[in-house]
Amino acid sequence: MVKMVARAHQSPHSNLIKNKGIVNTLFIFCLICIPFSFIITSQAQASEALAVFTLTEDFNKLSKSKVRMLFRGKLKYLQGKKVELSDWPQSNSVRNEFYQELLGKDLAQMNAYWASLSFSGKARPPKEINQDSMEALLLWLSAKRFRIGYAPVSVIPKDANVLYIVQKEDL
Amino acid sequence: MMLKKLIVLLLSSASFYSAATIELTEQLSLSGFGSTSLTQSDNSTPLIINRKITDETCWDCDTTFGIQLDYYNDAFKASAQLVKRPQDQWSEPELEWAYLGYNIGELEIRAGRLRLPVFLASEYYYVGHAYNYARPPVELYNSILGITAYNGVNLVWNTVLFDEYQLSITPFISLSETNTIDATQTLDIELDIDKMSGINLALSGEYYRWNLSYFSADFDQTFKFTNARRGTSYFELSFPNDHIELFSLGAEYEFDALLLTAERQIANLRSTWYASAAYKIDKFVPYVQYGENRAKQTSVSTFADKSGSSLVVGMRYDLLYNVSLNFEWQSFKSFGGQRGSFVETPSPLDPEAKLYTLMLNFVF
Repeated sequence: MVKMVARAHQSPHSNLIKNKGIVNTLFIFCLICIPFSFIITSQAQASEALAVFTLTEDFNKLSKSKVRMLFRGKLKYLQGKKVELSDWPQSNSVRNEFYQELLGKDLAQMNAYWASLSFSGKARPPKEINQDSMEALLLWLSAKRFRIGYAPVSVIPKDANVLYIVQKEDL
Repeated sequence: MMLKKLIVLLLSSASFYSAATIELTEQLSLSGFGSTSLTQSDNSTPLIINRKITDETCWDCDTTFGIQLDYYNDAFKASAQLVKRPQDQWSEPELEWAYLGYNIGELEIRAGRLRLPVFLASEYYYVGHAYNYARPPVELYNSILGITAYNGVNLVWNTVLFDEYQLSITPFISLSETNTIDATQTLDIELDIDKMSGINLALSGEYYRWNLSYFSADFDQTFKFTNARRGTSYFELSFPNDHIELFSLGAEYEFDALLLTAERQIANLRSTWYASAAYKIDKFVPYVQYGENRAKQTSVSTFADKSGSSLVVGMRYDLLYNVSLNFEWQSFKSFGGQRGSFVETPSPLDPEAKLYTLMLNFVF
């Protein structure tokens, strides 16, 4: 599940987190230090639903078909506005779970797919957030309008505009 | 030496595991792609134009490396792609595109050097990692005079139909273009394209896409022979005022793990088609493909019949999320004393070839 830990621990890898003692110590330490920072760990499981969301009210709710076309780069515009998408680092399991559940594709397939679009000048690949940090995603989303991200439902801000919830049955 | 290069390439590819597109700034990004192979045919006549694969083991017949620089600033975009194509020396890569683009609503106008949008994979022809097979089907993709790019202008209009389909309409025009094909050791074919224009329509749904194109071009063709005859160091044959007119239709459908693709092109010079099927099983993608080309009577040939065919059986393996391998066997046939997919007409006693390929592809 998504863990709340400090930004100091910005490159979470599963082998580090397997040691529960260290994790617990870090967890407590970080809770004391920076209580409002989040990291989406590579152990995050998408048994929890994933939300596709924005921080503004620019878009209305989306159909499953629209979200699928959006994250396959087939839609550059949404409701008349040019959108920018974000991705988690490829090592983050949330990314893999998201594409598996939404499109039934693994990372290699998505990478090949986006290669065909970006190297033909047809679409810009999603912006890869350079940390596994929810805060980094929120910063990127809030910097400009029409930006869209995805994350486990439990960690998105309460006032986020949820466009679509990706459930297990979407596969 | 080539083995060392391949090992270095493999190791450097492995280091891409943690790398994606390199974002130099928020607006500027650098990305790249490459392919290299170990390949061999069982026929001494060179196979596949611009690759010239023979019965000698070849480490460098498919080597491709490209880098792309993109600049985005709201409605404005600039992009450049430099590619060492299989036929190029490392010291002489080709500027495959360099254009400026501007968005006005759902319309984008681009000017500069652009990729010719004719077939499904035309615009990423050199990006081996983007398709399942080792090389795009040779019957189709080698059928347009070896042209992949042009200097000119295009318009791209993206629109959504019935809230479900994405339609992209791209008219394009080029004023002049010169291409030289290094056909054999003694023959270069120079194509001076005077006027080229066309239109591409791409329709996408959730799990399919259709591609329809038309283009026409006026061109002069010059066959330049060097040391082809004893006692004659150079001579040339000119075929001016020629014309090509081409229609193509292609479709790609995904049914869960199964990917079906077929394309057909009909032109006044030749007509070709292929069909392929690929099935994803974990990290493996076995695939089959069959293609044919049919020659038509032209200013340089009176032959009008089936001239070649090929069957591909292969396997792609995703080594990493951005590195893939291809293991491929391809059987070529040429008919009627024509070259088919050979670079020059093979011996009538040996008009067939088996081609073996191990290819590595990567993107970053």
